[in-house]
Amino acid sequence: MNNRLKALRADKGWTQADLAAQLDVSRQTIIAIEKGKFDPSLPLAFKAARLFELPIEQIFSDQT
Amino acid sequence: MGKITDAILIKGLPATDAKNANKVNLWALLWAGTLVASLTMQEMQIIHTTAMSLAAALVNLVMGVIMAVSYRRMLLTLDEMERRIQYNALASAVAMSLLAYGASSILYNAALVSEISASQMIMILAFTYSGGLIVGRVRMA
Repeated sequence: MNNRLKALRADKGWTQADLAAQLDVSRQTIIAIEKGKFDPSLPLAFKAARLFELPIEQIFSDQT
Repeated sequence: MGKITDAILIKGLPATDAKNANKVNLWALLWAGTLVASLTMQEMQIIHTTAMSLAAALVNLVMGVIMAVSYRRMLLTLDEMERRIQYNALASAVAMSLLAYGASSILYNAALVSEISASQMIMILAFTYSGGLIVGRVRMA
């Protein structure tokens, strides 16, 4: 799964730790999601969508 | 090397998760401690009656149940990536233990190795589980 989390986070001027705190996960989880090594759960993906005020499909997309 | 060290030290784990993990570690130590103490005292004939053996087994069982409950609680509240790593490590540990038991049983029947003991099974479980955690964390880093 691809995602735009890194770009969106940079737009807001947040660090990985800032985003982790707002999504209530560890910084390691944010790093792994941004690198595409870990796909977040649906609740976490929705939480990120709410935080960035974007539809979920504008943050996460299928690799195909 | 840094990634492995970070994986062992669980770098970046939220404070609540680390606190819960420490609770599990404490109960695991107490469970293992009561197991070793009970077995040693039985061998030294300090525990020599059925009632004493039952009491020792009960103490060990209570420690084990508390350890299992605190581990389950930790898993439920854990950071979601770390939880997935824990599940994968648990699956590896169970699979490895079953495979080791199966293979060693065949070799034992062929008189090639001695029978696998409960303590060896616990060691296989513990090492595979720990290894799985480290590999999982390094892979995600």
